[in-house]
Amino acid sequence: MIRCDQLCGGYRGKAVFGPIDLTFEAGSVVALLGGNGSGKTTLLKTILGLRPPLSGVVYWQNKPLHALSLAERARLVAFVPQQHKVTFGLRVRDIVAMGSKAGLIKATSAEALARADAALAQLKQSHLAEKRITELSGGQQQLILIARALAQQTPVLVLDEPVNHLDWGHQQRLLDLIVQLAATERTIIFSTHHPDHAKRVAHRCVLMRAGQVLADGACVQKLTSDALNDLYQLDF
Amino acid sequence: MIKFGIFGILFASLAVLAGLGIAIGPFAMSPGQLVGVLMQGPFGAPSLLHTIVWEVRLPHVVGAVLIGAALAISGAAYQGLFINPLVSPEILGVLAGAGFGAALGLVLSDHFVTVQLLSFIFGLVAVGLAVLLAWRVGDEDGLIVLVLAGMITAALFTALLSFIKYTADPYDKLPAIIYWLMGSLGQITWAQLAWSAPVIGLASIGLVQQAERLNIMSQGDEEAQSLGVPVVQTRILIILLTTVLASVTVMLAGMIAWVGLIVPHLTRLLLGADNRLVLPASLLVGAIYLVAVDLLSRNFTSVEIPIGILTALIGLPIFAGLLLRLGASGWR
Repeated sequence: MIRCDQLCGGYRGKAVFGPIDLTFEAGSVVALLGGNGSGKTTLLKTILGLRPPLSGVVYWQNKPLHALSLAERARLVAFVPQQHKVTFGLRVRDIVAMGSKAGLIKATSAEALARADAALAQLKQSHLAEKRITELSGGQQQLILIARALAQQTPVLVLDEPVNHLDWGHQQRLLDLIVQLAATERTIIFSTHHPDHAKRVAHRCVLMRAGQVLADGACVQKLTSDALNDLYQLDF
Repeated sequence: MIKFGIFGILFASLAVLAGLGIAIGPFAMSPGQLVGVLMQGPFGAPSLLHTIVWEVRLPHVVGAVLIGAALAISGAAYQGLFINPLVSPEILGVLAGAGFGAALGLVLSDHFVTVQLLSFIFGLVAVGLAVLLAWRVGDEDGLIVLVLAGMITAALFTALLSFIKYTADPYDKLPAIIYWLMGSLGQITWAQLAWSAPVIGLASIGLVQQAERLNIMSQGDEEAQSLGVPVVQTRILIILLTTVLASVTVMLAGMIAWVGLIVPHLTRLLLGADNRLVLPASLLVGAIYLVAVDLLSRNFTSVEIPIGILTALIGLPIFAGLLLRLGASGWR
């Protein structure tokens, strides 16, 4: 379980969101929706401990986040970022194996590569294993990052706009995968610009505007036309 | 298996080139004579041949091996750390600082030890200042701030070096400073190699141990952190090890440019981008490159050309060739 108490976050001392109180129950799938610049990514990064909070506290399994080592965090939560910069042409299999080894310094290369292969197979991307990451398209690179997070085998998975760059087919496969993972009691938090995706796979959605939570509850109840018009400030 | 084979070929090439480096020179010797003198060991029967091999050429070649290896692994580690294939070991101002320290030493004293000590200290000071400045600015866009801070310290020590040159005695000290800055392996002694070899060896082992983390850090700071890597601590450790390596090379032989930039590219062409292979292999490729350039510098003309000039003259066309080739296929 992840809990935010009066959490406020931002950049260079300037608040982007908060104060926010949120709880992500174990085994739940939560979708984060909101317009560009509403604070979704900053909130996710603050929850992950990648950015220090301006105020408030994040708890992972009832422990303050700052009390957990980086290795402990890597064993609890895996992250798929919204943007990924590729410079050096590392082999895909080795990049996915970084997830297998996260927080487990003693994992052998053979074990890590086996977990990497399994994650690639789960996403039906085994054929890319020996390619260099620089040879792949944006969508394929996104799938490799998702495979890396799967190889991390954490109880919590955080995905920031995971369908970015993915074709329609891969979007559907990813949504199916989220449903499968949820069935194994994993907690999944993802941000999205697709309300239909949230309705299809999320138990709950959190709507954000201007750094504040506008609504929080079951997707069926909260993602109505009026609520979406209000969220994205559409005037018809 | 292919990669093990490449390592084997690199080892063999280095051994052959080192042998040529010892055998070839103004004083010609046959392979049999060379083996015979080497078998005698450092305390063999005194002779001209023994002195040339053991007191002149061998320290020269061993120095080239160590310095080439140190500069190359420093460049490879920095290119991984800064996630940028255009980075070389001097990005944080280490060579400018060490160059200033050496020039100051040459002006203040005639003792070579003073020159080397000041060179080493100011190499560390320059990088320390860059890191301190970047830390004071904050950790937002950490790598960019670090590069900018390095540019500031490099500019500062370059200006200070110019000031020292301007005020130095033009008949005695200034030529010494200029010659020293060109880079030369000619003054390396066994005593210097005895302490610098373990330092270079240990720092290189330290860097090789960070290779896997460097791979992960090449994914970006936030991703590396979410994969359990303590980014700031690892970065400081790599900067420290690299600074020690670069400073030691300046201490031993002055400014030798381009090795740290080009060799990692050549190594990635051979073995791909995985730092677990690139870092140890760049030690070998760097050693091969500098031994070969040293061989040329000593035998190209009747007077030994400062090696720093040749590493630039040979390095530039190699880098231009790499640009032409990699420009089409992408960086590795």
